[in-house]
Amino acid sequence: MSTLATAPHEWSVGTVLRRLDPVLTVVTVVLVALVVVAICAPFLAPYPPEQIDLLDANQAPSAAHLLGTDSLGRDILSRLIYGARLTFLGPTLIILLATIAGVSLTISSVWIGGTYDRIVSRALDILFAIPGILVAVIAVAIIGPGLIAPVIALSLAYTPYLARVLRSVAMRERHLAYIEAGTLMGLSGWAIGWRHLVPNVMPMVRAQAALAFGAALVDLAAVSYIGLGVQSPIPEWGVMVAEGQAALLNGYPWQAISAGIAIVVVVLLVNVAGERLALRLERPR
Amino acid sequence: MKEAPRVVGRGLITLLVASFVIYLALSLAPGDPATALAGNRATPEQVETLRQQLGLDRPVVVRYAAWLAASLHGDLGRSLQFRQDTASLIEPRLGVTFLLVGYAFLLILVFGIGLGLLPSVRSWLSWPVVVVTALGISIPAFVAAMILIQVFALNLGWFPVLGTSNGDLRDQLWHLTLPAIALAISWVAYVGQITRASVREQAGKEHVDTARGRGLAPRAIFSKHVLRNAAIPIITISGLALAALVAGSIVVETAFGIGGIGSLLVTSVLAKDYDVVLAISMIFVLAFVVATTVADLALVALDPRLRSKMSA
Repeated sequence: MSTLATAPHEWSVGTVLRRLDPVLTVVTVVLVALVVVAICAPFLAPYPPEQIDLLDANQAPSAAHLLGTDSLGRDILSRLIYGARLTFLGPTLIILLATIAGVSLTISSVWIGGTYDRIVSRALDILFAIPGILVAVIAVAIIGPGLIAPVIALSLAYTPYLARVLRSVAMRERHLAYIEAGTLMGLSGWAIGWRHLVPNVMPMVRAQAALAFGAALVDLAAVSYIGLGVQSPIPEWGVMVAEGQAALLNGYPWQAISAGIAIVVVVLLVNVAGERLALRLERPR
Repeated sequence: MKEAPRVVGRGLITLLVASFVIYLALSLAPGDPATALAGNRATPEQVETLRQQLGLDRPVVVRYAAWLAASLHGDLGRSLQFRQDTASLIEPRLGVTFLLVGYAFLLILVFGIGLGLLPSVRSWLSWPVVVVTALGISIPAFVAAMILIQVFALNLGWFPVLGTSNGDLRDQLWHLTLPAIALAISWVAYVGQITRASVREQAGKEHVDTARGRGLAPRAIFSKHVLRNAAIPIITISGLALAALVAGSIVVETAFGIGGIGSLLVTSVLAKDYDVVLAISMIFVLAFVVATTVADLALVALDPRLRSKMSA
């Protein structure tokens, strides 16, 4: 590696600034800010999220209620802030589980090859044939409504998706010289896999995980929306759209529209981040 | 095409295994169908007799084989919720869902591919298309439903708010327009992105430069050299889109109160009506396998290189 010679310049302010992707930086900062808002919900939300005030029901946005109130008089902004917690936590768990499963299955099957590889590939193909939302609905039929069933189901459903994109990268890396060098040095397959192969496919994993996060958020919110996920009165954005729909049909669109826009904004930001991460892979520094 | 049997065979195996996995998963569900069917006043002996009649005392593989054989003869079990044959319950709703999915798929093909081709017709449209598709991909069907209902049903009054129609096809399509748009919107954007990227990639290839150098007409270059190659990823994505639309009907039918199999699946899950859940799940998987298999066959027909690759 030639980094030794260039090391003094690697981290100078100029190089770091030039290397930063401005779009990715802005998007990341906004997303981190949203996560901080969700974590600090008790300090930031103007009202308790489940505080009912029937005299104040279906209010339009005002100084007292910045996004108005829902049909039970609960403050929509407060429910949105609290709702961000489960809305972010669910897809985070899904992508974490699916990435761990996808990476270990792909790396092990590329490394071991043979019958094991064929069985894993076929199993993932078959899992791919069952749409994510259907897996979630079936899991709810077995385990019951809530957050747990759809999260487990969607982790399963996203595993073949992540494994598929990874496979081509892992295959290419597998046949590079450094892997052979490791084998000749007497390193175990385990050591080569986890210490060398995994770190090298990580940039790809990050990009795909970001793109899958947006899709998982939409799927999970959709499961809540159709009434099979998180149940009211727990605030969650999919539940808020569902509850807001009844109000919308009665002429009070605030809740459905603000929760809907919140979902679109977050998914858009995450998708842009994923695209940018993927773009960096195509144009190496 | 001698590869066709191979592609179809792979689809059939996927279908068979996936259906067994779903059957196995649903057999793990709590609650005993025999107890539910027998009702509250049944004695334990009656329940036990019913269990044997239903074959619930047999191993799951045997029950699956029996279910498969029966369903191939059109017997999909009985709905506890509606006290009716599952097959006769599903049949009229299947048409509604297929109409919705077909409508949405048509929108995706026309507007998705159209959107993706715009930049090659007018290059200044490249940026707007990038922005519009990035936004469109991020709009979930149920959020699109809210916006469409608010704007086009409540404010403008152009379309009905909810429900299906029993009238003629024109009236049905009028009722299904907003649902079809909601269902299609993110896939229109996605197909648009794929089309744009694919056309761009192909237009930059050497053989296209050569064709240009040979003085071929731009129109001929575009259709014979660019579009034909660019069509490969577009067809794959369209197949996946069609499959995803069928599953997406679960959400959109619930949002618009449409009586198709998607909304029936949701009510059946909540009512623990497992025969119906099983049957509809199988229809969804069948739709996925058929859509992806047809896309694979179309690819083989289009790309001669795939023929040798697949039979190798």
